[in-house]
Amino acid sequence: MKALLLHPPYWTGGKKPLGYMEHPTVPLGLCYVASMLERHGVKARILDMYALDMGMESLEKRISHEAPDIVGITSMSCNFPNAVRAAKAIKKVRPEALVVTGGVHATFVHREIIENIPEIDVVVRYEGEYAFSELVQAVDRGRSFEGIRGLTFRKGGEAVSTPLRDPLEDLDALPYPAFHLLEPSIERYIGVGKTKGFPVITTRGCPYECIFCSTAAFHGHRYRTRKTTKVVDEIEYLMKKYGANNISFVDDNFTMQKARVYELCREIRGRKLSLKWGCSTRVDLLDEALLKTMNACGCEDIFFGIESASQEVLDAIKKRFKVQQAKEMVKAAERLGVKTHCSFILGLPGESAESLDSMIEFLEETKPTGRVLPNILDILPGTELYEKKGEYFRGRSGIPPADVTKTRIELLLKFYMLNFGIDELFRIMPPNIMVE
Amino acid sequence: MEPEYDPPAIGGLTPLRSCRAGDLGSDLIEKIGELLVEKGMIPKDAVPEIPKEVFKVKLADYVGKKPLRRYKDNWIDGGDKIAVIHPETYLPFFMNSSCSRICRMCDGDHTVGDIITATQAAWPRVPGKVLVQDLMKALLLLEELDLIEFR
Repeated sequence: MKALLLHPPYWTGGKKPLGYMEHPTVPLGLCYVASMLERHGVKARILDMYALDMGMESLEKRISHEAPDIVGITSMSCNFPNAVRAAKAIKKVRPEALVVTGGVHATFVHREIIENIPEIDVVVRYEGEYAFSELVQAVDRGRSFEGIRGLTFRKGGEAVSTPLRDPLEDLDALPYPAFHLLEPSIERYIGVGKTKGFPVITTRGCPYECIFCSTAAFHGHRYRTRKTTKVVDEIEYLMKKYGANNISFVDDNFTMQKARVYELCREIRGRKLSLKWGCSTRVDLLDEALLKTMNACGCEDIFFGIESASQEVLDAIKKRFKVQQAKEMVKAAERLGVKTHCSFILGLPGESAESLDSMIEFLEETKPTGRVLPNILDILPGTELYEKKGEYFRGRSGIPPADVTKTRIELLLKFYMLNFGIDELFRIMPPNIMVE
Repeated sequence: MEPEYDPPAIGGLTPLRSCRAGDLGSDLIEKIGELLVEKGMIPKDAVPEIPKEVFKVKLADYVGKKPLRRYKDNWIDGGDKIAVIHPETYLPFFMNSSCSRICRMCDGDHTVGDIITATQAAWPRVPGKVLVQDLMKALLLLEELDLIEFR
């Protein structure tokens, strides 16, 4: 049984419009699924089309060469069109392969996928480690997979869904992500310089109800945690095996349980690990004492999902914190020398010219030294906003998409042009040419 | 006084490079890729091709062409500097001042030849060959980033 796990690219159309990505993000979800397959003796490979800069023609050649029996494709909403293109390419050259898709997007539109995309045979819904592993083993043994929880597939021309499985309770039961299966090697992702950064996840789930976010819908509202000793065991393993010296805790709300973060810091210090790290969290889940402890333990940067600098917008999206809290926390972190990255979403319900201006004022006042990410709202399947879009935008001031784009550019321009020189951004390497 | 020459450059929030640029990191990728190919583990096509050779560009092929900025509404002129967001990927790009000068002339009316003349007038003490080389690098990168087209 040969299983291939595929990460489709993000570019649109059939041709990659942009330059080559230097350090792509590790496809952590696929690495977890792959490690689960390995645990069950399945020969798995990971094909990260995004990192390998691979087009659909190359994919066809690769599939013909490897002849996988089952291909699992992960995707988010933004690269789902490429997941479909990949599925078509796979079926074109190897129609007998079982094509499976999973991830956040597929989970919430599973029936539509099975009903409308004949090249996709099965959708794995929600957390995929166990469901996909059981599916592969069933196929390997020639058994029916109708009894496996968390799947949607085609039967007699109809979409059939099996009952959902409960969210995974014991996160420590998962094997470490299979970074060794990344091609050509993990160095493609972490680079060959002095800093060797690795992602580590320590929790899943989010108790908050932000209407635009699919995290709680996908991972559930219950905050599930790993044992801090197990987390640090994994860090030590990454340090020994790969020389890791920088960790990104990729949890959505890393500091949700402050006592746990203190414990983790104690564990890192107790083992005398020389380590820099960063995390993502909410501005209302931190205080100065915790910040100081984190900073003393190696925390160099924090990603805050601030979303808006307008209280009206924050209230409309059920973000449940105050703009003032966000300002104070960004300033507090920066005072301690912790670099803050601030993410905003433009075009949320209640957005107005004033609310967009307030983002610029926010930046001018707080002066974050990390990145500012003004994203444009993408209404994702599985979110409350997706379900009740009409209701949320009804009666609220809306601004035309062109204005949102313009403000986003202005925001970026003002922030980066005023605060950074071109060399502090990533200078894009030009072509190596000789003019004759 | 003539300002110090700053070669045209484009910055972004993610580390990108031209598909025709080679550098150190790619050597490692290619070596490992070649090893995997040798062992028959992956086909040759799966190794990203990052050519290291210098690409020859004939100025005569471009000098009469008229570069035009694409996605007009997505550009913002910040005085000395220009920024743009690619409408499909939402990736922002920032030009330094000399690249911004070039971009302003990418209006579909000026030819590459016109831009060369204007650039040489702006930096008369910089060798023309250097200016043309840098200018073409910038224009070809802008084209590769899907931000301009040659007409």
